[in-house]
Amino acid sequence: MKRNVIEYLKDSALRYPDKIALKDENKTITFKELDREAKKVAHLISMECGDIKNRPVAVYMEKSVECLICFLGIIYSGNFYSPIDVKMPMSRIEKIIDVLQPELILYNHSKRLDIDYHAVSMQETQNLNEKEYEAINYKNVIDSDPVYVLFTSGSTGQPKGVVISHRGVIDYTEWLYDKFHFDQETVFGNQAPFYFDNSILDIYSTLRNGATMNIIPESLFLFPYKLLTYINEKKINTLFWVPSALISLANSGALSEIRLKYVKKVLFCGEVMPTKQLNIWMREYPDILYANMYGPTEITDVCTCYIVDRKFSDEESLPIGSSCENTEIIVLNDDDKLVGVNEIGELCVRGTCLSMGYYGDFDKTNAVFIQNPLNGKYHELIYRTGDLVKYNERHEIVYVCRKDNQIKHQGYRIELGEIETVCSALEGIERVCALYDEVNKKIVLFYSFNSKVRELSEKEVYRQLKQKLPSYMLPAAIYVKEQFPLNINGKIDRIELKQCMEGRPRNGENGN
Amino acid sequence: MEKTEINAKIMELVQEINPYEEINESSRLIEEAILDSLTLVILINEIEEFFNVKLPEDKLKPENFENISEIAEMVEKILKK
Repeated sequence: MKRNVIEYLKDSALRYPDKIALKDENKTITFKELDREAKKVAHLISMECGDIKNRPVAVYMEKSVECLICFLGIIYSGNFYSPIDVKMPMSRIEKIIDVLQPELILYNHSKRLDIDYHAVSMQETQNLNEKEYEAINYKNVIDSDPVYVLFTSGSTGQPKGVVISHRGVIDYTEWLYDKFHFDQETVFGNQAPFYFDNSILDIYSTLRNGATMNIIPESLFLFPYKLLTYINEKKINTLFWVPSALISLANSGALSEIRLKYVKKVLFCGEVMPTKQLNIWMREYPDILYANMYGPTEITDVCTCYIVDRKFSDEESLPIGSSCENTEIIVLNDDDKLVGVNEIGELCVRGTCLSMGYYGDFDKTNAVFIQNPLNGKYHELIYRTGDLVKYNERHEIVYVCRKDNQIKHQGYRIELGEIETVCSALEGIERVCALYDEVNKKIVLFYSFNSKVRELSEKEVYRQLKQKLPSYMLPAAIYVKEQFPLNINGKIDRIELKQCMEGRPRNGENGN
Repeated sequence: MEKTEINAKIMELVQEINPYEEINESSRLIEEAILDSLTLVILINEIEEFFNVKLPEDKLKPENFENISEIAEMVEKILKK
């Protein structure tokens, strides 16, 4: 039985040593080379940090083959990794480092993190002799130990580090194999950033099955024709993408003009996939297998799956299906009782897939990882997702909405509260409210300021937010609002404010 | 149309799409996520409409949209044909 994800790499390095494992614009690497390079990174870590086990090591790097070598090297060293995106604003990186307190930050020559912290360039591995180091530290790790920590938006402005175990990833990767039969012929076209857990499918299914993972350059996702040509050139046959990326291809019209020659499976997860765009795909490519998956980071990427097996009208919503193997979904109503058909309740998850909670934050962990209310006899945790769902007549789960102010924008999970917290902290701000315009798919920010402190233009607010928030969290429309509508509790009335927003014209489509 | 005029117009269009961003001719539009997949489509439509041209598919690639000058240069070449 596998108990460490690194065994997937070791096996494939033996079975398919000379097969291409990973590919990006600059580098192509076989399984044997990947295994060797990862061991060298483990060697470097032991030289830098001594004999450490189950400690965090951060990777500050552009999305690349090298970044993955570092992840695997960290696992080889008996520790766990956490990716830090190079495009993230400095203040957010500092918050993450503050929570994680990594032993070491790995970077590469092109991007060095501009803070005073224990960091080393992975280029240092070039001078190491692999024979001098025996990479066996991973053997001291047990399968309930962490493999990675991914940071996700937190409403108080502090990103939350979700801790996932080896067992969670192995459980997930084995289920994926049973369900989708990935093998050596599989060529993944990776879209997901590595700080987003959709990438877990690409990475570990590649390692487990001796497949090939092609890291698609991010900028191509803005250019549908180029993107389709690239997919053909690289003979990519399997996509696991966020719906936004599939939607823009469908809307561009390019799908009918450039034929995809090799794609056999299109899986998606991360936000609602609209049936209108799915239908465009299905009309052009009826023979592709389509699967709608669902899951928050806290349960190791995916916990439900629906393989599209019938036609949907453009108005129907696509079910998220039923639970993955070895995972159970329970949908609880307000009284913590199981819901009946068509009754709305909160989706809760139980199983091996559950995260060990938020790094360094037991309060937040205990708020959502709770004792199963249906079990009064022994210790059993469930994760409350905050997603409201219902069962349809076919007993498939259908997503309804969030129960809080969390949104999905371009596939990214965002707490509107985090945007508000950051904005409130700006000097001169009085009140602030962030909303999501579902129709135009944009974040809208309303604020008021104290003119005695300072004048605060929309442009200035944007400029300051840009220094603190990742680009996908930045509002696309900002309005000064002198008087906020309030509800009886004196809180901002978000529903009424939303109506103000809907009356506004969209940028770039007016004023001509 | 002069290159400088084309430049100015494209700057105006990008600024209209993202009114809060400080943009100059060499701002890296894609790298810095000033444009995303939605707003890029809007920009292409606006360019086609204003200059009354069709941007051919083979021109729609990251290199041609890196910054304002690159876009202007591409538009200039298409207009000259």
